[in-house]
Amino acid sequence: MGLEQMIPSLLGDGFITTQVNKLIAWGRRNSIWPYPFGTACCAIEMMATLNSRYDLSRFGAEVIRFSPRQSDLLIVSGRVTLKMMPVLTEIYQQMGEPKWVISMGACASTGGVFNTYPQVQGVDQFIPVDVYIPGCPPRPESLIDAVLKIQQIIDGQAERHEFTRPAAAEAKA
Amino acid sequence: MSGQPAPAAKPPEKKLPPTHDAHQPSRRVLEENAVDHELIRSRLGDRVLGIETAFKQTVLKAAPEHVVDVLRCLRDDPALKFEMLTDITAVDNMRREDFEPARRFTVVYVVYSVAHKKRVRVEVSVPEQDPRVPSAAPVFKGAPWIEREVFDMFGIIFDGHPDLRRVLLPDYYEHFPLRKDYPLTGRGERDNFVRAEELE
Repeated sequence: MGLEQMIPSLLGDGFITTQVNKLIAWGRRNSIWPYPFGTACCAIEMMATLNSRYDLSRFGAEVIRFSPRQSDLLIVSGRVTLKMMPVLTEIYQQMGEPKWVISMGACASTGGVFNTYPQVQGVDQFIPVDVYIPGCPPRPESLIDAVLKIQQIIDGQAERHEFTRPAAAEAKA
Repeated sequence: MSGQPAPAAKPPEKKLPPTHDAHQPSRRVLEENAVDHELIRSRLGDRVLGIETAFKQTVLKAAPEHVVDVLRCLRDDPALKFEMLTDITAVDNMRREDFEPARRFTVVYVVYSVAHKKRVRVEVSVPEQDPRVPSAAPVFKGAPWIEREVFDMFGIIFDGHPDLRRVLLPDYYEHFPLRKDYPLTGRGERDNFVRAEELE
């Protein structure tokens, strides 16, 4: 008690105090490394989000990695067919915890207009999704908003001391 | 200002761009459609069951056992030279009023003559039980890929095909989805995956 008041007199200015959880969350939320699972026109909007005009690097999420082992945000953008769904599941499993998933656009979220035999009617039936983006395709601003929502989720998980996905913990139990 | 307004000036006559002037079918389309039935009959003989030109498209009918011969003759004859295989596809006649199980499927070959700028289709009727057609692979090198797709979607077996496997759908797939008795939304294949958490 009183430590925060003592710091300036002991060490001078330029120090702040926080909790370890929040410090970790601060680091995670500002250095999201997305994995682009782009299968259709939503992927074009994702590319637009990353380019200089929309500039996702303002939010620290510009380092696209094409290896799931090096990334912590899976952006499913586009149609997922029954031939592709096992691939998506495997990519999701290869990502290390902690990980988050954005389902971008109508097709990834619900199947969209493709209510047909090869089309998975929403990837959330098979992998857990954190944020859904409506639109066909969504505008880059929507994807930026979804990344900001992911940042809020990371903060919320830190506040609740959650370091793994609740659904994953339930499945293990 | 006295009474009557001046009569409105006549609007200038609109000049349409030349393509909209009058309906003139382009020369190229005419050339493509004008296929000489007698020439084809004289070259193919009784291997062709019928020739008709409908909706500006010429269709030859052939029996399954003769279709490879017909395609080879269409390709090699110097007067015909239909040397480009545009497509092979199939039609499921199940929902037609005059449906017979003996003519359930129609396999359609579209060939084009680059030299003569002409196009014909060759149609072959295939029965519902044991749908088989000889493969066009000996005549056209590009045929096996297209035939795989027809097999994938309709389940028509191409005899003599070098590698008849599914090409678009996964190998474990059991149905032939472009057949009319297959429902549009499938038979539950799209829902048969395990959730990622259950695999962990």
